[in-house]
Amino acid sequence: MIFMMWNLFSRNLLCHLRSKEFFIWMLIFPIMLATLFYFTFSSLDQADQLQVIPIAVVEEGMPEEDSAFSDTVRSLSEKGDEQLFQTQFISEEEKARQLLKDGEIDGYIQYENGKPGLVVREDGLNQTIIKSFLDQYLQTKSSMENILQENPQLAERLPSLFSRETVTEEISLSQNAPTSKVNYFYALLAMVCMYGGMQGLNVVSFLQSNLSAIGARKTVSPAKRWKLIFADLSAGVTVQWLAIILVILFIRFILQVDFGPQLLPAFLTGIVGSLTGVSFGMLVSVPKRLKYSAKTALVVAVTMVFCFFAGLMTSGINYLVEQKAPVLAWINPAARIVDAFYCLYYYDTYYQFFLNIAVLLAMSLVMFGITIFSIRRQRHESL
Amino acid sequence: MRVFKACFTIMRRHAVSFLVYFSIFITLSVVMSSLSVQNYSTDFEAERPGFAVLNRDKDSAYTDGFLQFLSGYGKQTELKDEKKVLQDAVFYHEAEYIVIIPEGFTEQWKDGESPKLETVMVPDSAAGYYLDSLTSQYWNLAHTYHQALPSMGEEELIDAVIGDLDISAEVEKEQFLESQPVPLIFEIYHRMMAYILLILVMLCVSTVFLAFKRPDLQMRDLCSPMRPIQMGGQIALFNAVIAFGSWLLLNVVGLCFYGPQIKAVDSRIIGLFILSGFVFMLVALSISLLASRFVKNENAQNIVSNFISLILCFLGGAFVPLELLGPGLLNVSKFTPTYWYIKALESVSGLTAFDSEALRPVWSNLLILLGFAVAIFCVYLVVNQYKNRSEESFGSIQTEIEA
Repeated sequence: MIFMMWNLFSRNLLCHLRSKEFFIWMLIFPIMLATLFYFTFSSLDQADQLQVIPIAVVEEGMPEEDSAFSDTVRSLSEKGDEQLFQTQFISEEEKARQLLKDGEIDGYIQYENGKPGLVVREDGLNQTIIKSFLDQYLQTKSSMENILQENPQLAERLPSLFSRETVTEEISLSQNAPTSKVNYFYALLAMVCMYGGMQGLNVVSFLQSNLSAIGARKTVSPAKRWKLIFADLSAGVTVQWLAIILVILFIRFILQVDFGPQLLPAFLTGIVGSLTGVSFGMLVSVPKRLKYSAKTALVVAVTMVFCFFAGLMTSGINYLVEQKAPVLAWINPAARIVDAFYCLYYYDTYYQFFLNIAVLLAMSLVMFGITIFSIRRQRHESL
Repeated sequence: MRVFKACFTIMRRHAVSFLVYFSIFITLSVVMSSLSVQNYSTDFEAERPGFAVLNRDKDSAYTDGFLQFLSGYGKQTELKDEKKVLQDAVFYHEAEYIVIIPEGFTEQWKDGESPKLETVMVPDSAAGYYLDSLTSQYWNLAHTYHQALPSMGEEELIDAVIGDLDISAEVEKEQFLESQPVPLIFEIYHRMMAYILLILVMLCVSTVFLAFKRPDLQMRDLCSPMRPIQMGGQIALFNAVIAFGSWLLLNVVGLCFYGPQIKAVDSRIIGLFILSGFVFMLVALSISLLASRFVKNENAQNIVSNFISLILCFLGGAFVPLELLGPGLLNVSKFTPTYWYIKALESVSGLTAFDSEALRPVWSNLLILLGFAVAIFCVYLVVNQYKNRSEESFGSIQTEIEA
C-alpha cells in the first residue's frame, strides 16, 4: 500500500512540477507582483516629503496692523528645506479667484471681518494643510492677545513662551512597529494560497469519469478512491506549499519584508493556507452540472473577492469588514491567512496566530468533508 | 455572419462562466468603490476617529481638560491598561490613537521639565497624525499659559487653552460650476472600473479565442470558403460587442447605484466620465486581443487576465492614488494606459468651465488613451499575422478537458 501511495503521489507531483502554468501561476506571477508592491510602497515612504503648496494671499482688506500674518506667510514661502508654500501676494480678489479657477493655486487667503479666511475649490490634503496653518496662526494670535491683556510686560518674552517642543513620543507595543505596507504582501500570499483552488479543482476533475478521460481511467482502476484522492490532494498541497515557501523566502530575503522573528510559523501558515485553498477548489468542483470552465470562473472570481476583502487592492478594508461585519471577516479564508501572517509580525505571543490557524484548519476540514461526502461512491452505468 | 453567430453559440456554452464573472465582478466594483471612499477622503475631521487615553498619572485639571479637548475631535474608547488589550485595539483599528500619560507627567511638566507623552498610532493613519498634532497643540499652549501666567487658576487656564484651540479659520468652498462637484464615490467607481473592465473583457475575449484556435477547428475553418480576414473581422466584431456590453453594463450599474448622488452634477461631466470609460474600453479590448494570442488554455487565461489587470491598475493609480507614488514610479506609470485614464478622470472631475481651454487637458488625456488603443491594436495585428503563419500555430492550443 505504501508503495502504491508513493507511486500515485510521486507521479502526481511530477505532473504538477512539469506544468508551465504552475510555475507562472504560483511563482512568477506572485514574485512579479511582490516586486511591484515593493517599488510602489518604497515610493510611499518618500511621499512624506511635503510638496510646496501654491497659494495666494489677497492684500485687499488686510489690516495694516496685522503685518505678522504676511511676515509668517513670507517666512514659510522662503526657498529652502522648510518651505511650505509658494505664495503670490495679490491686490484684488478677482485675480486670486481666477488663479483658483485655473488650478494654478490650491487655495487663497483673504481677510474678512479682520480675520484671514480660506477659499478653496475642492477638498484635498494641501487644502487641509493650508487650513491647519491658518488655524494655528489664529489660535496663537488669540493666546498672545489673552496673555498680553493679563500681563503686557510679557511682550518681550513672547517668542520664547511660544516656542514649540515635541510633547509626544511614538512607541511600539510590540517588537515590530505596526505598518500597513506588509499587509499588501500578506494579502498577495493569501491570493497565492487561495489559487491553490485550481489544484483542488484539478484533483476532483481528474477523478470524475464524466469530466475527463483520465478520470474515467482512474475510476476503472483497482485503486481505492480514497487513496487516489489522498495522493492527488497531497501532491497538490505539496506543490502549492513549495511555491509558497519560495515566494515567502523571496519576499523575506530579497525584498526584506518582515514576517516576525521566526520563519517556521510563516511556513506553517503557508501550508495551512495552501490546504485551505486546495480544499476550496475541491469544494467548488463538486457540483456535477457545472462545466470545468464555470468552476474555474468561480474559483478565480471568488478568490478575487476574498482577496479584496483581505486588503489586496485597498489597505484597511479587512479592518473595516471586521468592524462592520465580523462574521464575514471570520469566514473569509484570505482574511484569516493575512491575519495569521500579521499576528506573527505584530504580536509577541502566538495565541492570535494559532487561533487563525485553527479557523483555517476547521474551514479546510469542513470543505474537505463536504467534498468527500459528495463524490464518494460515484458510479456511472454509461458515459 | 455565421462566425458572429457561432461566437454567440460559444458564449451560450460558457453562459455560466460569463454569468459568474459578470455578476461577481460587477458586484465587486460597487463594493470596492463604496469601501475605498475613506482611503481617498481627506475629511477625517468629520469622521471622529477612535482614540484612547490611559492616565497613569494622578487626575488633574490638565489631564481632564486634555480629555475634554480631544473628545471634541474624536470618539473616546475605554481600554484597560494591559499590553494585550492595547495591541488588540491597534491591530483591529478600534482606537486609531492611544495616548499614555506616564506617572508623574503633570508635576514634571509644571516644573518646566520636558516629559513626553507616549503615543501609539495605527500605521499610516491620517486621523492618528491629526489627533497627535492636537495633543501637541494642547500641551504646548497649556505650557505657554502656565509659564506666562503662573498665578492663573488651573480651571481658568484650561478654559482659556480650550477656548483658544476652538478657534478655527473660515473655509469657503468656491463652486465655479453651477452644478455640484462630482461625488468622490462616483469617481472611485470609475477608477475601479478600469480593473473590472480589463479583467472582464480579457476573460470573455480569450474564451472565444480559445474555442476558435483549437487545432481541429482551425484546420476546418481554413478549408472553408470564408476568407480568414472575413472570419477574423466577425470574431473581432463579436469581441467589440462583448467589450461594449461590459462597458454599458458597468455604466448602467454605476448610474443606478449612484444616480441619486449625481443628480445635481452637470450632465456634461457625467457624459465625459462615460466617454473616458468608453475610450478605456477600447484600450481594454486591444489588450485583450493581444493577450489572447498568448493564451493556450483556461489556466493561462486566468493567469494572464489577473496578471495584466492587477499590474496595470496598481501602476496606473487605480488602487493607490497617483500623488502617493514616487517620481521614479510615476515615470514608469506614464507608459501604462491606466495612468492616462485616471488622469482623464481627474481632469474631468476638476473642470470649472466647458470652454476649449478648460477641456484641453481632458481631450489630450483621452487622445493619449486612444493612441494606446491604436498602438496595442497594431501590435496585435502584427503578432496575429506572425502566429497564424507560424508552423506551431496549429498545435498552440490545448484541447479542453471536456469535448
